[in-house]
Amino acid sequence: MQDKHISLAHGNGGRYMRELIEEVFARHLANPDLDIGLDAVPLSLAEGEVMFTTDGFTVQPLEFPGGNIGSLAVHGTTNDLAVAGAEPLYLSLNAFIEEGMEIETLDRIIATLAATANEIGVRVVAGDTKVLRRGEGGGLYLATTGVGVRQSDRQLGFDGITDGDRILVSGPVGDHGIAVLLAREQFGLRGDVVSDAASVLPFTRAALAYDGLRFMRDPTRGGLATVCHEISQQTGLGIRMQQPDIPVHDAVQSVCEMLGYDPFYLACEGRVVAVISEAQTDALLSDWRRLPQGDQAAVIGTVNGLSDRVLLVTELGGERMLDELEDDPLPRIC
Amino acid sequence: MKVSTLSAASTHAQRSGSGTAHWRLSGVVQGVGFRPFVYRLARVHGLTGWVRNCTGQVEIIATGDAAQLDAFENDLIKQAPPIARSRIESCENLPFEVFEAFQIRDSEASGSADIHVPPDYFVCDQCRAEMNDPNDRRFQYPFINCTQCGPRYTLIEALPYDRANTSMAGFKLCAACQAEYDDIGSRRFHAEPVACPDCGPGPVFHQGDRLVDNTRAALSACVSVNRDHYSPLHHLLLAAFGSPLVATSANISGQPVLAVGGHMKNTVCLAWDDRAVVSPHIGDMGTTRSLEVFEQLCGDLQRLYKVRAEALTCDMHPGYVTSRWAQRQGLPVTEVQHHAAHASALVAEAGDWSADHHLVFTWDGVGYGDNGMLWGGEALYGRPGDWQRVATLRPLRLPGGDKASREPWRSAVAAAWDAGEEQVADRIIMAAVGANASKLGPLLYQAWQKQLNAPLTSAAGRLFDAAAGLTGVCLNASYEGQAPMQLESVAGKSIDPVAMPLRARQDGVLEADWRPLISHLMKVNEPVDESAARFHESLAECLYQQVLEITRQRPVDAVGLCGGVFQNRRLTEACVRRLESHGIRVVLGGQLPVNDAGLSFGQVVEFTVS
Repeated sequence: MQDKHISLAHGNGGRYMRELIEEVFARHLANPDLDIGLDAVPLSLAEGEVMFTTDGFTVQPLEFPGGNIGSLAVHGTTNDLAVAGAEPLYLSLNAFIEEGMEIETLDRIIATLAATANEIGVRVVAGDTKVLRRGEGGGLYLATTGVGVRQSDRQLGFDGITDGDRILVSGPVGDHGIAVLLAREQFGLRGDVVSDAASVLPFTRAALAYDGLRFMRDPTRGGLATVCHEISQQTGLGIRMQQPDIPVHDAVQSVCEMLGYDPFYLACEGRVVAVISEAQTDALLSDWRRLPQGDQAAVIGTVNGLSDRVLLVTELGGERMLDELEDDPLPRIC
Repeated sequence: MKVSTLSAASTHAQRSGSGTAHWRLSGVVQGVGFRPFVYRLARVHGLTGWVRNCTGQVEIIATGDAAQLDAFENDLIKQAPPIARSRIESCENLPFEVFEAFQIRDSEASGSADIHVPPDYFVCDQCRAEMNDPNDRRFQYPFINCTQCGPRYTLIEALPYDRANTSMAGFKLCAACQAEYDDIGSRRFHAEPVACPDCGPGPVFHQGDRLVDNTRAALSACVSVNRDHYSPLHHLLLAAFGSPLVATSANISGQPVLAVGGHMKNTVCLAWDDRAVVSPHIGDMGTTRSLEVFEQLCGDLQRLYKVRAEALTCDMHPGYVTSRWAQRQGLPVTEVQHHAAHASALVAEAGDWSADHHLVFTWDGVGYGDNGMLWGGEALYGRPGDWQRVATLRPLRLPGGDKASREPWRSAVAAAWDAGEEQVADRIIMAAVGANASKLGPLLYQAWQKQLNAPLTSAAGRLFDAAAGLTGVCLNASYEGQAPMQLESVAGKSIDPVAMPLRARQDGVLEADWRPLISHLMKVNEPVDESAARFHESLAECLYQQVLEITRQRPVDAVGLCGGVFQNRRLTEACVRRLESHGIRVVLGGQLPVNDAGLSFGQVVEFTVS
């Protein structure tokens, strides 16, 4: 392939497109189940419920400290399967490439995507590429669909959550949101904060060993506060979080304080929030803390049947209500 | 609409010879020492008979000479306790009846719902003197009160206002307090909440497992814990002692409406028929405790006055807890613009309905504007229900949004960046942030340039913050409004203002440009007292110039000043002086706070007239 940049010809079904698929996508993603000549692929699945999910990725910038849109496309979808209690097995991949994108960058991203999938043990078994006209896309958009299997007896959901259950988080919150913000705006602090983008499978596997586990979710868009709101709205129960117990990296905290952001509303891409019975809380916490990336896991709050609000108990003992996220939070005080 | 004030006898019966007369008085007559006052007055005039509370009113029957009865009637209004607001509803002559003495009778529970719940009153001078007297049995007792001060509204569970219908019912009076309660000569004669350290409630200090229940030890524990956090204690104390409830007689007709107010310093207001009742202070709505108090007050007001709201009105700000609450209630909700509510509250309280052409300056910390902009330096023209924005201040881009409310240095830095004075900004950031300034300062600057969490606001309150930051008076505040208060307190003697140019924007709104003033504060090396004085004088002059410009274009009957910024006495007086010397009538707040605590009443007014 001679070109350094994507042109419309890379999407017209001809030689350019074949070369792009062969030299970028197939080269990195090669696996026994991927056959670029087929229209559809047969899959054999283990015993259990088939779990199916999909997600789109439009992050800007495409590459940021701690990952890129390729690793995110794998983690995002496999993490959704993981928190639902499944083992992810297969992915499909759609790439919408903007005319003019550097092929070298695309190659780097797809290489990362492939490496990330390998690490987790999922195979990309179907895919498609389209080229968007210049100005109609942000360089590259990805969409992945994931298939996994869950043990039939393992039901997780809002229904099991009861008064007194504990809420755990697997690590510091807000890293991804701040890392991407700093990278996107090309702030001088780029690199001070690294995205937490990672697979949460080690955490979800550990949690699934406990029959007191009620529910898991990865706090992506809207962050920890939004997950808590979802739990509260779906169960009608309140949540009391202890602010000093919620792990936040110092660098994230100081950037948030400076810019006026609340880390509890910022996205994570490699954390899990779990709701578990009080009795099994300590055991799960110590399991999590033994995992790589799990040393700052913490019990951060309690499901509170006396209220239907999401409350943050501050260091001084005051209670603050965590509002549902607005499109664009406007100052209320000044 | 006019806040009811002390009014003369509205009815008068002709008398001659000896006779028996019957009066009914309404207004704020319960919980203000009115019956003891009537009792003493009757004795002074040598009358016999009785006085009693019935729901919302005081009823008096007295027998004596015609001249004595006339004098008594006259004094009933003239000499009434200062905190009472009474009027004579009816007066008639009855068949002559002989009584042995003059008595205070048990209350009559039935009656109409036209009731006035007495507000809480701040501690009176006499009680304060006792509280500070080491030899007094109520030395340092925080719940000291008498017929002329102390809690009322807070304690009342039902009317009529008797101890049995208050939260004090469970505290049996000790012998000493009982004696005061029964002694006609005592300030505490029939003071329903009377209490002392022996028989009344006491403060308890609770922190974790630590419990201190001795009054003095609890207070000192509280003070020591809160020493570095002045504001919470300060606000708690304010909430307990300074909670005005203003009942007005309003020309309101139509369905009962509950106005839920704003977000900070909040109150709610219930209105029906010709009445509007503003609740005590609730405070900052960001905490669960205040939301509970808010919900309780909304319920209590409706229960107490036997009125059920059929409509709600709230601020336009979509993020206010009160607005969100209103939207969940299943009643029709009318949104009212923040500064329109301020202006209407001012005009309506002043009873200034005759004028059609008010010009009201609504200067505050922030409010949600018509177009989603953040306002706070606006001049509104018109009348309740029909306000038009005619002037504003040059907007300032606030780095960090709401953070700026507690961090005045942010406003100062924004003003410096706006003026291109980056070195001034760097110096302030260094002073405010310390060690991380070299790293975080540039970050904030870039965010500000890229408009990330850096909304535009035209709020005058932020200019005060900017001036406090630029003069070094206050960089970080530990309570709301600290920077402007400190700036006011250091302001020296009157000094020449810096002129701020006015320009007409494309939409016709006049915009005042504060940059010459800010630039003066940054560049001219003058003592802080002069800078602070110049800032106040310049803003007052700017307001005055806006008035002159606007009066050239439209008729203006009166100029109103409201919004939290006008709690600043220095500024308000400087504005009034200029306006009045030009023969312009000025309308200022009276009983209702000019800050956001008055919003709920303004929402009622806007709802009613719109």
